[in-house]
Amino acid sequence: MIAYAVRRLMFSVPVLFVLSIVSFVATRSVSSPEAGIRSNPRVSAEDIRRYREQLGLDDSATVQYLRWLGNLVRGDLGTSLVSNRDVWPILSRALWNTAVLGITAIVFSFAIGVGIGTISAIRRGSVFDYGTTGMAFFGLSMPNFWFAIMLQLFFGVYLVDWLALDGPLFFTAGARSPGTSGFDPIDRVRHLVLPALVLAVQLIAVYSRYMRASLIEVMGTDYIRTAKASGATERHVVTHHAMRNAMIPVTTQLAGDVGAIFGGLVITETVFQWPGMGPLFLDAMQNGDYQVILPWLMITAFAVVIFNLVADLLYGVLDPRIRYG
Amino acid sequence: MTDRIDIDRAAVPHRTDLDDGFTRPPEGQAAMAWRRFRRHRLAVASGAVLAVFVVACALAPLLAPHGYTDQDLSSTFASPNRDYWLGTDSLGRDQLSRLLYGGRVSLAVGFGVAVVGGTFGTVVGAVAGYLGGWVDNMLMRITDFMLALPALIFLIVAARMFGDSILTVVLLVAAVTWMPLARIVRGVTLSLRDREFVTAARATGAGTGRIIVRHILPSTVGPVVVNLTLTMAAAILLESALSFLGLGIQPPTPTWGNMLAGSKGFVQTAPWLVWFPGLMILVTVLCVNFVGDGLRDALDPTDRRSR
Repeated sequence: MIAYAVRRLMFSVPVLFVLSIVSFVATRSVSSPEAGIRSNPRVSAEDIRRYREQLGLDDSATVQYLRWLGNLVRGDLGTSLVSNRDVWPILSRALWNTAVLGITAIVFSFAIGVGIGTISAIRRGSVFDYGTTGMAFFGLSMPNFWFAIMLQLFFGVYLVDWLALDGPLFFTAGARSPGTSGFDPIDRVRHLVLPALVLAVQLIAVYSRYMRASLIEVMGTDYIRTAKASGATERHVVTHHAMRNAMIPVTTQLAGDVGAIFGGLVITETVFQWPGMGPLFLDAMQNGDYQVILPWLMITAFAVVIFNLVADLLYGVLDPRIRYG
Repeated sequence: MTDRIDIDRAAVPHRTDLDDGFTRPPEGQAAMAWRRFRRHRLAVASGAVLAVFVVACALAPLLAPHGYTDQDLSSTFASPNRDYWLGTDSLGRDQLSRLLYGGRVSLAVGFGVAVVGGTFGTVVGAVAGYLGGWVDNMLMRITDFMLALPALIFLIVAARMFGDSILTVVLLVAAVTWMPLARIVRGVTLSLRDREFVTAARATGAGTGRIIVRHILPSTVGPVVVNLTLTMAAAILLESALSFLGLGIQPPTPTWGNMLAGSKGFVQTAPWLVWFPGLMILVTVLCVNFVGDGLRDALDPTDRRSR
């Protein structure tokens, strides 16, 4: 399995390499680095020349690319064109915030999704099954940006009016209350709930459908029939024999999802002004700050590659029938 | 019950049936699919709702009570009333009219992506599956690569590079939605290419293109049609998300997504501006998904419960 993992990682090197070229070309074609200082009337032609020289903008594209790649491989991400600060601390803070939000949503969704999927698989054709199937369709058809705004409207305006609250139960923007410092768990949770809920609606829909399909398939296998024939109760068979195998595909899906969150929460984070990877990317795109966009793209791509590998390896660990060739 | 009897008769012809040569003219695939689809009431109802939306949006110039850029600056942010059934926006434009015109764009993008992405995915899948070897390997690596790419990020960067006309948006969204189809068609093609009827076709001198189009693709119609509905649903959601971020099709051309983008600042003062475009997207995508679900049941050849 280690050999398999190493081989997979080696395969991902050319993929990331191609991606770095594509990202570099695309990013540089949409950003004009000196636009910001050009618009300043007090900047002379001499200043612009010095600025271009500093950034190496007059070298050929190939030279610039190789220099950037060399720095990236050595762990030097450079400085932001806009704030002139090191990129890594900015990125790592955004990564952390996104991870907090994404992983919270995934963990809760997993628990709820597996629960719903299990019950609807056992009671196939029941009211509960039809109800949750309908809800899953809703969850997958809901435009998440709209759902996010509706939650803000409901919790930020309607509920405050109806219950005559002093302030909203759950906050509709940011990751912590302005002016607070240090770690205040209750304040953090009150900020976390709504964006996590937006993500959870889709995730629960996916996980519950997966779990339902998977459990139905497992319940039809020979070993489950054997377990039932040996006199075990239905409940015991489901919880001790069927669920463990049925959860394998859902678990690997979860591992893949963790990799996808870093570049995948753009909409939710933007609506809730969550200081994560999404707003960072959109701001950088707005400002043409390629020094931020490029490492951002590489890190999110790397996360996808790594967690897809984790998902595949996890499959082998959880299911001994899988052998890696 | 009648179905069951028909099948039995077809399998064991009676004397009387033999007289006229055939037991009964065989029911075509489309007729059978339609009969099975009709039983899925939710899917039929969803199809009807979609048909109403499509017709209403197509006839927008006739139906819309106002022009989509007509401004009535004396009644901005009007809540739904007799003149403006769904209220007006910050410039006093009639929301109902804008929803109808916006629906043309949103639905056109959905259909356009289904056609472009559907064709591309089918061709890639069929070629990869039929030719195999290094062609298959290369095409599938590209497919995997595109699948791993976060769709929205790709669209944000690409929309900045290639512009934001409706055609461009269709092509870009198609570029991130063709992959599941390619995989499905490849799978079906792989399972068929060594079957006797394909070998027979090859023996009679049919070329690769003819074999793929005439002998293999007809078998992929079921899964392809089901998947096209998913593609269309995804396309409508992606287009509206892109517009919501201010990067897709630009005002004054209305789309449901950019209408939401324009009104998100007025959530408190004019909630109807947020309610209706979002509901249109939700209901449309939901209906497309339900129709897809009905088609899945109707076209699944492995489901022999209720022919």
